[in-house]
Amino acid sequence: MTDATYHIIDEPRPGSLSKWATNPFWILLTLMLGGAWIGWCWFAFNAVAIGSATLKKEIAWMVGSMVAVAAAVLIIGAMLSQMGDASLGYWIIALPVLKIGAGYYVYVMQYRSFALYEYYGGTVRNGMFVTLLAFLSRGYVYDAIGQPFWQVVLM
Amino acid sequence: MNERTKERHFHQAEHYWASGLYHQAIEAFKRVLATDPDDSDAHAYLSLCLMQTKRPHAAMVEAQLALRLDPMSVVAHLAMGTAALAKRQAAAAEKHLTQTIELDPMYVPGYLRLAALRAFQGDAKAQRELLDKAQSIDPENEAVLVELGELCLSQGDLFGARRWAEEALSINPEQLDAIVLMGHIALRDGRLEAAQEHMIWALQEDPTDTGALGLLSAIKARKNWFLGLWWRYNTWMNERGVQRMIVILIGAYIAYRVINQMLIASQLDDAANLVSYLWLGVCAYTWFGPALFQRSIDKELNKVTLADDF
Repeated sequence: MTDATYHIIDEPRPGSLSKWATNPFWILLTLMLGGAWIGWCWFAFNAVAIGSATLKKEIAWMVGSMVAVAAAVLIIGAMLSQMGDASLGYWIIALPVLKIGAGYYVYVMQYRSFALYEYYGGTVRNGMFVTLLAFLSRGYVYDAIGQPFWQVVLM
Repeated sequence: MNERTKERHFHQAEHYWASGLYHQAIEAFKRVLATDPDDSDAHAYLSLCLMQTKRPHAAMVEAQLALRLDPMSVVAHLAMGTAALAKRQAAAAEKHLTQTIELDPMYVPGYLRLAALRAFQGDAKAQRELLDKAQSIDPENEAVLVELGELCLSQGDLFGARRWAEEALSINPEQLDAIVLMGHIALRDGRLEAAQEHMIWALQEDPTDTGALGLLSAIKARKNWFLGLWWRYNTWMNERGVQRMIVILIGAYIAYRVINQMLIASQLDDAANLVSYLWLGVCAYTWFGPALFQRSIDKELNKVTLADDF
């Protein structure tokens, strides 16, 4: 990226996967439209591809949000018998909030590295087609997962 | 050999820094540090350059390195105070900026940053006192004159703001920040064309200058209410910092979902649909607003020319 050997802490270190790097905007959009599973996987892949300076933190946030969503599903499931349908409608709002909230935070972190990666001339692929594909195949993936617990956690 | 190479790189970096070419200065300071990783001044100046390119986290790390290498360095304390201020750590900023002035009471940048801290704390009187002190040390310091002008502008004193900006321009007619300030004064005064001429003048001097680009954005926002709304929303959000911004967005999303759920529970399906469409509209606007704004600015930048009579 530069002839100098001094490395500033927030500078990305792209590896061999950098040719597949994309703007994290598309990943966040995919997380919202195509389901959390693809958003989480793609964020992790992109972090490795651009050599994000906050790689470990981003992956920790993704894993943490998946665990938090699973825990929330279990808690809501355990409380199901005590709550009516009306209150269930409010409680399940917590699930997209957890997914999108964590996704947005990771997006903000990854975008800082991405901006520098792009500034230094790194290859950037258009992620729009993956986003569209994820959106269009959402129903099929939902059916393929089968188990309701995983459907709620991963989609 | 190494020492000579380092000196050459340092002079080059200083030149870039003084010219406001911060990206180039960063690369040059990196070359200095590749030669000598223990150069405190290089770390400190690198930190200040990183602040100028909106990289506060890296700026903070570099400032910490500079201070560790030389705890009595004035520039290192200035860098640390500047980085702390950017991270909204007022107490740390206060400590290091006060130390900057204690170490060198004639160091004008120390007063300027401390004045910025007072502005952040909403203490305009203390800000003015610090700027006056800075001016008494160096009456011809253009940065101080511009800061005084900006303070007047923020208080609605257009006459005072113009006086300071003109004084800065009389010392250096190419002073970019003063040109930008004149543009903002014209914009506040409702003289859109004059603001535009100043913006063009500033962009011709340096098309990457953040102040000039900010003026361009403000002018575009004034001309087009659709983009203006996004500009104001974006500025308001940025002032809050990333974490607060995420909390606000999540809060808005929760509010939308709760209202939607309440309307559905009350069997007001049409109203629930309306709320959903409104939310979708807001989302689309905030997603596409930045891209449209950037396109509009790029278009403007491509036709930057001054009027013949300017």
